Amino acid sequence: MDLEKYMKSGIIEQYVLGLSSPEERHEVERLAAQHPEINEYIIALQDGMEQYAEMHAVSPPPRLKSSIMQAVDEDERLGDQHQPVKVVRHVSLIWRWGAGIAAMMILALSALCYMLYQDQQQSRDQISLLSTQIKHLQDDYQQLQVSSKSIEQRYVVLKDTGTHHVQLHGSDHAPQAQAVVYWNPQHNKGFLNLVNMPQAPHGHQYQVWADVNGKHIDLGLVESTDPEGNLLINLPYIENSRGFVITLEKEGGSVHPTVEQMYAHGEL
Amino acid sequence: MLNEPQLIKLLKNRDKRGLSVLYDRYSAALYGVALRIVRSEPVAEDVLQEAFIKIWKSSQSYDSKKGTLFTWMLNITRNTAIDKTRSAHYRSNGKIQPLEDFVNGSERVPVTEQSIEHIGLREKVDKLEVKYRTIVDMIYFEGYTQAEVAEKMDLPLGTVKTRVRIALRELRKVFVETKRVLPLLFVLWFDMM
Repeated sequence: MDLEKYMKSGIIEQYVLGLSSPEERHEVERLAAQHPEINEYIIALQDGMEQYAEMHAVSPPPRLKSSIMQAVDEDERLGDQHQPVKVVRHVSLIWRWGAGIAAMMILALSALCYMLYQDQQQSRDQISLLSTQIKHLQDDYQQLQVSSKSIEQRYVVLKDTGTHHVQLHGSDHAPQAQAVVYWNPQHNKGFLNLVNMPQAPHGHQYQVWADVNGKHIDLGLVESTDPEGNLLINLPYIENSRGFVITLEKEGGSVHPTVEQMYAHGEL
Repeated sequence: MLNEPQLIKLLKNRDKRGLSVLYDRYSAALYGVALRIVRSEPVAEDVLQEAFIKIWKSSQSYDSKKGTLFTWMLNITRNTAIDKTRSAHYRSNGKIQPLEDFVNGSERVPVTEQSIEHIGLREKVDKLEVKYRTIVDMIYFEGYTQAEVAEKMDLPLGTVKTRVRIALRELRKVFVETKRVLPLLFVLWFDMM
């Protein structure tokens, strides 16, 4: 491209005077961007025109400035009035959507939280229940252990060849009455088993006595209810016991046996 | 004193201070151009107002690579003024005044207001051959296209184009020379004191 020829063609002057067509304008601007000489020439011509225009300067009336600045303000305000409406609508739509989604999410999360809380409550209750059950089982187990030990001990005593089995026969009052006393002098242990005793009348209790050289020693009160006749009742061990007697006493027992109310007796 | 880049920044940021400075600096030149074109003070005032609103609103589209702020503003003002002359309202209102009153627009400004530059320029520009100046004035201040000039002056279009080119060149020379000469003039003037 012949730069010199282009610059002499008059196209640039036309551009500066605003006489070019859009295509010509774009061409000049494009070439100006590529060639500094063209750009400088354009600026030079523009500068000339600026100064030529300034030659014709006429001061406008002073009031015109405020009038114009106000008009700009007015135009700004009017322009703003149009835009915000669009912007607000646009924004509010987004906000509405956003708010809606947010609300839904909050509700969903709340529901979830509530459900989780409920589950947790249930779990807690279950745990609590299980804990109690475990405690009960532990207690039962302990009891069983104790029982088991006790039974073992008794069994040991019963098996022992040194244990006397003293059969107590019924008396006139209760011919069917039957009881057994297991008596072990070596271990100092005694047990009573009420095999078959009539139910004590209301307000009365059976009392057990040991016959020690003719004297009756109180061995304690017993419950008459033993349907299966399996209970072994501990008896305090009294040395030199020759025999045993069971009498029916008033509730609470007596100091001396009521011989008339003897229900069962037996000798070693 | 705000320089051009600062002014551009203010304007693009929609800072009214920028517009205010532009008004203070260039409103006289723009008003003068508008007056020259529409040849009526009330209309010229309208033009100035419309032009400044346009300048304010289209500040984003100003491209400093294509020219100075002033050139950009001049074009906006010129186009607004020329559009006004073409409107039916303008024509029918008989606002067109005799050209003679407005040929030497700078005479309306008291001589003391004009800078020394412009007084010297006036003489120089007056010395520019009429045939060149007329063409420039017709195109610049009356919005004639080159074809319309050719028709009005009964000249071939090619001649008109050549004259336009030479006219701008000559104008440019005048201003450049004046710029170079002016400091010298000052020196001479001081010497004479």
